[in-house]
Amino acid sequence: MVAAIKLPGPIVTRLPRRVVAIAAAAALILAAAALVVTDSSALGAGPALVLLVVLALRCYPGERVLAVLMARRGRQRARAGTTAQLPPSADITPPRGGLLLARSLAVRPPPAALAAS
Amino acid sequence: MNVRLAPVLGAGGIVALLFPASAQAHGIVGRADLPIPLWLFSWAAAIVLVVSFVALSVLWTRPQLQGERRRRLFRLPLLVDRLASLAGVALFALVLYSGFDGSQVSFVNFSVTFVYVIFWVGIPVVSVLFGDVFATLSPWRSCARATRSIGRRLAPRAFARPPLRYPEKLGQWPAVAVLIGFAWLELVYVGRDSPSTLAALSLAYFGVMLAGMLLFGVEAWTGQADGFGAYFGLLGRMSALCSDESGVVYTRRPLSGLTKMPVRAGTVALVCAVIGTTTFDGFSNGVVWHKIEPSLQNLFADLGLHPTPALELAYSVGLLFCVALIMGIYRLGIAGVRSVSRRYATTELSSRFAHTLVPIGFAYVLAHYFSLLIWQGQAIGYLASDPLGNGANIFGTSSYQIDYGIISFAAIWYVQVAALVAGHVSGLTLAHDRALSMYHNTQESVRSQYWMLTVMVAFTSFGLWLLSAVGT
Repeated sequence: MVAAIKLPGPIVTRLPRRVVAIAAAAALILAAAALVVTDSSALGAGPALVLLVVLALRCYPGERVLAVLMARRGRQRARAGTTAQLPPSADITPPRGGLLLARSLAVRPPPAALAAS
Repeated sequence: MNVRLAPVLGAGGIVALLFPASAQAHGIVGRADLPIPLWLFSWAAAIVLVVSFVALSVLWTRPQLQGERRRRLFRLPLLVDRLASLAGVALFALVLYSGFDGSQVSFVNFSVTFVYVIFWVGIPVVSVLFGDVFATLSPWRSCARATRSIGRRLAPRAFARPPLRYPEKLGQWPAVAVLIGFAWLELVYVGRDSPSTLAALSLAYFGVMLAGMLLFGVEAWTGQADGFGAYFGLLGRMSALCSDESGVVYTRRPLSGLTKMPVRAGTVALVCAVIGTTTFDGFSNGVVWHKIEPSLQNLFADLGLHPTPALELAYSVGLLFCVALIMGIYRLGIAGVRSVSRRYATTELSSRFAHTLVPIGFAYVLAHYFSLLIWQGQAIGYLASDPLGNGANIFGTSSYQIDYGIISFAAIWYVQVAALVAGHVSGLTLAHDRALSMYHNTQESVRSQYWMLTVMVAFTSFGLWLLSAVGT
């Protein structure tokens, strides 16, 4: 399912050295802060640290899943949009059989004999 | 339950030092009694942000907040506007009067509680709820407008337009200086609890603001050089209510006002200063600062400074460090966003995402000062009757006492956590909406938001740590 959806091509820009350097510095500061605090509350910095390291390595975890979900959502929206644009079904149902005959008769003028009487 | 009272986070150093008698009673509890460890709160908050990020990416596929769609509610009578302006001027006059003529004991003087609690903490909350109310209440703005109005009648040519044009390059840097200066007064200056000092500084500020508004124009000066006007104006943009110059009140989508926020020179620094100064208020009451501060003070003392200036200098360094740290975290996130696509320069990205920091700033302020507002805010009840602290009983409420049982410590903690998480989710939403309007490539848009997610998670964890570490 995941492979069936075509993802946009990879972005070719390189992560600047400065970003890596800043990320590394930030990680060091956080690690140093964790050492200074020396209690379990330092674990609170974990999520930010993990994200920072992962992104500095140019990984975007879950990106493909997000793309799949977004594509699915896009299709749903497109479908919903198409349905919403359709006029009410009564107006577009083509007349068939008896209804077709009735409609044909309804637009004819009445017979001349009946009109005269 | 091991509830340990300690001088404060929300009140920060200020309550402990300004209101020593009540500080112990209303200081925020040390967080040794949290039902689960802090790091679990931090991870849970991060999970909320990650889930919000995924939900936004999947469900929020078109920009929704970029256009500020207003819906007219009613027209505010001119009389109400004038009365509010008069009330602002009258309160300012009372601050001056009580500061100069009242008791110099800080916790019985109206001016100290009014400036540090009602003005500094109350107005931000009211601004987020009801829009930029300070624009009407501001005493210096009201006086400048009145002066201009009278001047136009007496000398129409001279007052037709401001004599000077506000320098564009200066932008909001004066406002940044004002905010950091006020934070310095509140958190660093040893004489901060002196009512007469506070009144003198208020009067000086009033004079500078009035002169600036008359020289450069009321609106230009208020939005850029009046630190409080600029700060409360930013927070007012978060509100679902707004008004125009003719007094018509409108509703709009909450936060949508921020997307139209004018970004000038110094705007990013202004928002970072709001977060950074609040950060320092919490940080300076925590165990880490108490380990660092003596060494820093000794360093300055060794350079020949007396203990008091050395202490103030050490705290000043801490204050500036916190502002710089917040700017650094934001710049790191922006550098990450820039690494995703070269379409926009770093400076432009920094400006375009600056508004996403405003809800975070408010979240920090609310989380940090919530207990101060709830508890010390009640003091206005008896201070209104006895503003000078000389035993008067004007409204018959001078015997009123602060009810510290109005809210439990646990409830305060949960309000703080909720404020922090909601503020950061709001920031993330604004960033996502802006990214959608900037990047036409979905992949670029999503990747840029990974970096903003990191910024928000970092700020949330940091904020929670600051709140929890106070007094422990």
